[in-house]
Amino acid sequence: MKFTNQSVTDAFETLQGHIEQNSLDKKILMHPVFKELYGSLKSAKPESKASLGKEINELKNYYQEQLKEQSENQSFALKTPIDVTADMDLNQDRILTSSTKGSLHPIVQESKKIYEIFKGMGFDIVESRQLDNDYNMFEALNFPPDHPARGDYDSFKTEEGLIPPAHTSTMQNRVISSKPGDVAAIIPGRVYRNEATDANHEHTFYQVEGVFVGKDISVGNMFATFKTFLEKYFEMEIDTKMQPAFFPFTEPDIEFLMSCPFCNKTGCKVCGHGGYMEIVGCGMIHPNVLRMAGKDPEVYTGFAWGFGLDRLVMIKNGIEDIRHLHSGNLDFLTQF
Amino acid sequence: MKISLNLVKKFIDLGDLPVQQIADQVHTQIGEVDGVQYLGDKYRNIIIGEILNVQDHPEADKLNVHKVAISQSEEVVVVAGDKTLQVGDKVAYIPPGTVVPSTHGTPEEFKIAKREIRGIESNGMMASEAELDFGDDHSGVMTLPVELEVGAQLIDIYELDDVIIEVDPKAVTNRPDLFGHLGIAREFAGMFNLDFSSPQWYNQLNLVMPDSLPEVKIDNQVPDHCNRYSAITISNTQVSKSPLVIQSYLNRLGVKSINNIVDITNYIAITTAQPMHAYDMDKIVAKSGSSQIIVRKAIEGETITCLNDKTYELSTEDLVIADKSGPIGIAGVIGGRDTEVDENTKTVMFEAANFNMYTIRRTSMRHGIFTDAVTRFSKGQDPDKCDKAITEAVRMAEQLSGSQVVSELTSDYPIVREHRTVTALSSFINLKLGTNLPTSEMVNILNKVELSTIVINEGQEDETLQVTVPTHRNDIHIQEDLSEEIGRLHGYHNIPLTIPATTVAPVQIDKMLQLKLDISDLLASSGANQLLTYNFISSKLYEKLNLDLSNSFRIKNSISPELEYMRPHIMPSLLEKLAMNSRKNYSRFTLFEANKTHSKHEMIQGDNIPVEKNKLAITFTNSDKKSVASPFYDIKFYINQIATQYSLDLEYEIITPESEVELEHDIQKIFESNRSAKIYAHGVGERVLIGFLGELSQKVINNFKLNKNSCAAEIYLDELNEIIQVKKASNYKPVSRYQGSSFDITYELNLNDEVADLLAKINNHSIEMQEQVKFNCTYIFNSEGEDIKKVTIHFEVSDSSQTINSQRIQEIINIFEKI
Repeated sequence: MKFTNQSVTDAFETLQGHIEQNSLDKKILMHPVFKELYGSLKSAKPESKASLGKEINELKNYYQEQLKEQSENQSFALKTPIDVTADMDLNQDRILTSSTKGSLHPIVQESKKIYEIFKGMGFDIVESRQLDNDYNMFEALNFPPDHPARGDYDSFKTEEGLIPPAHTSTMQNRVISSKPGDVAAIIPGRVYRNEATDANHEHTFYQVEGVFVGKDISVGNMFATFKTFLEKYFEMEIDTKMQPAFFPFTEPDIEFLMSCPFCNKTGCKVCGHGGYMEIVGCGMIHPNVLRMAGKDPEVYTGFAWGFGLDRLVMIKNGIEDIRHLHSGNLDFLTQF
Repeated sequence: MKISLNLVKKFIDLGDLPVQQIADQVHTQIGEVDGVQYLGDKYRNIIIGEILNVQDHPEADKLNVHKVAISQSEEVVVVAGDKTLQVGDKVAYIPPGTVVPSTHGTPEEFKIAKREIRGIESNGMMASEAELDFGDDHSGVMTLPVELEVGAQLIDIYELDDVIIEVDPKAVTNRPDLFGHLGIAREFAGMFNLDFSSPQWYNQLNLVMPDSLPEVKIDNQVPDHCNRYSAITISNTQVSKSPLVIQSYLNRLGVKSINNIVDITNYIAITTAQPMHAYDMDKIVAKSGSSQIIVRKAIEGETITCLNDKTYELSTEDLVIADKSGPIGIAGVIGGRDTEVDENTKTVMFEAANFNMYTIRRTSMRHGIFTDAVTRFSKGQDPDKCDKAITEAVRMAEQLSGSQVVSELTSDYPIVREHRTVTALSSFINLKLGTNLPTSEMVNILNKVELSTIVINEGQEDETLQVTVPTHRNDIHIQEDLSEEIGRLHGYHNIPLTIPATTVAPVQIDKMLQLKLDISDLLASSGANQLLTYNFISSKLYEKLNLDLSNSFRIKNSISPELEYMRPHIMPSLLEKLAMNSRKNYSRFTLFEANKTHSKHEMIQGDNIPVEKNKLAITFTNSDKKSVASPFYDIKFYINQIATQYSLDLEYEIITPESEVELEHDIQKIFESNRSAKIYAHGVGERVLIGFLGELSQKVINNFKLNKNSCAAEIYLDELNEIIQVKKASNYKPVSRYQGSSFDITYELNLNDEVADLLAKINNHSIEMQEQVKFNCTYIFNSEGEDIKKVTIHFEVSDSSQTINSQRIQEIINIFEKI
């Protein structure tokens, strides 16, 4: 540091001497030389006042910077090693654990109930992939290469052309071909749609896919399977309705509706006052899908479905905003 | 997709079917109903009035005072701002107490009241086109045809006592025929078991034309994209407004009324689902010097200004209709402005064509043009009906605009779509549906919707349905399609429910899924909170942690930079949530997530997809700044829980500044050196790296503004699972009936010695003893400044065959003390 004012140069030397003898700490800013310098400022000649004031500030800033640097260096200094093989620190009486109530995520809690019900009905459980290729996502599901239905799925794509699946049906081909003969499996998993997020829409959500392949499987079997599941899940008798839908990988394609478990069909907020709720998209597996999965459609038939888990969880718990599910907010999570 | 029941009734007698039943069955047999609108409610009480007298308003220049007859005997005074009305004009009169139709059902319903306007009492209102929701014109009162009877109800004259059923179009994307009312009527015949046949003009062409007319000059250069192009020219056309009833039908179905010629093309589209277009032929000839029509691919960079007044730059991917000078329309999407039909048009060319549905859809998406024509064409229309549509359009044009046909109906139809035959055993249908329908019932259902069906091998076991599928049902190809048709029209709700016979094979559960569930249960019951966070992460987050993303998958159409990459680790996502929750009022908490991660480090050969790596991240924080013990041990508590649960033999290796970082395991970088460890597990072979744990580095703590006592662990679940799945021999030892002994020994170790070494030595000795020895470390003491630590080990010794005497106990103590 170089100063034009002799008084500042003197003060700098005094301070450096002080540091050499004592070491740098915050007290340096309280050193009497600063008081003297500010005092001399009052009596200084008008023409030298500005330059003196400037240099006093520079001096002070210099030490502030030095202090800051020192504290940063200290915080990044290598810490003393601990014994990573021990279960406790030196002189430690007890391990501190969480003071909040532990919780499973509500999606996981409901999944477990669903798994138990389907296990009891003889279904295997396979988790869905979170990144897949075009073949499994579309081609093996009877989507022609140019089909506009592909566009309806608004899927994300990686630079390599892989797809974070827009539906758990992406697993159908793998699961159906995974073993010879009959197949009964549910396929839970995360799915993704490229759409704006609001209280009712998320780009990341959950589905539970199901496939049931065997000999002489009928639409009546499919309806009965859902009805049984839904009654076990909601622990009450429910009524069902079906409406036509369109999916390239099933024929016929059906949207399955259940009577609202909250208002007994009289209409309420949960069911949008309709008394029924769309719950499952389903259908008889298209012969092309069976064929591509190595099952002879002349011998085997089957049904498949997919339902959204988020909505079930929200309905069951009265959750008003889907965005809470991925918020990671403890205020939300600790309630489950 | 809107259905007008009155328009349906022009093709089929619905008898006295209740509206509610129609709507319910549309829902269960066609698709989800988005709404049912009773149009009649909007127009009730509106009366035809006649102007008897017009006077200036004495107090206001801009108003007139009208005397209006509203029945044979009643007259009312109406003040209005339209100065053009004349005596004898017929108007739509809205009496006081009635809501203006255009505001009906909106939050701003406007109810007409008797009121004084500048000293003169006005009794009701004379409606404009816009106020009646017949069109956009709000410039003045709408005048109606003079022949209408005074006092008649508007609702009766214009067929307004209608019900509009709106269906979610997604349910019928494979049914192009249902985008026209004729198709709906046909479907209703099947649903309600009614008699139906398509109108005569649809079943057979009956266009009567003078001989020896010239052809329309059509040059279809793209037969792959344009399956059919039909056109006809008409002349002496008087372009004017359409009759109000047509205007009203278009309007209630959401189509804007333009003029009689354009309205005809749109009316044909809402009835047959065949989009049409009308061109001013004189403009084409004036512009290009020729009447030649060309269907071709656009030239790169070619532009066209369309009916929506927007100019589009086209590419070779787009199809255009062109004359010799350039494009006059984007084929199947929207017409060009230069050749539109206007009030001066005399010669019109009607076009009814058929374009490749994918080509149309791509052009629509690329340019962001979404017209009704696109909606219909992109479902794949039937080329067979082009000429039928034109024939009916010509009939209407003759009637409504006085036009005369001046060309042949010319059609370029390179590959004619033929009827298809599909067969199915009736037993197959019943098996597939789980029904027991008689064959005659199936035949009836199919015939009702003009799927002409005959039975082969009637009465025999292999009784077969043979169905001639008309060209407009391109969705029916295989026997499964027939099962759908019969199931749906019979009513899915009529199918009996039977639980399928379950397989006898034992249920198999995804082992990794099960492990994630079990570990989650374990952690939650130890006070940790489970999170689910997105797979998508930002490069900013990983830069902040100095973590590598070069092997991560980048989403090319991500919603935002915050959601750009597929995450290779779980922990960074949790750190953000740790920071967020730290700002709230939680003193100590643990967050965890078990989920899949993705990177290019390991790919599945052939499929070209990554091996999905399952990882568990746990993080703990303590806001108590006075805590002196390292939080390392707080996070280790959770790892110990897992190790105990699965009898894991874990080894911890300290991470020092010299420790190497492998790219795939660079999560190691978020931990503080000397205060963190690599975790290895011992399975059958060599030790396996299963993760990291420890204090978060000072840099991470500063960057994320975390409590200083924050720590984390990331565990590799796939590696862990492999070790857990190895079936171990049971460790069971018979329960001793004899009293055991316990004692504590305190060892002195150098400060840098590891407790694990001591425990290993103790273990080696205890294995050699005939007694069973259990031991664990209970306390580690260090006086400040000393470089030794005192480690207290608690021992429990028992013998399954005898009580251990005190002499033996002493021997044992001696052995352990000398270690």
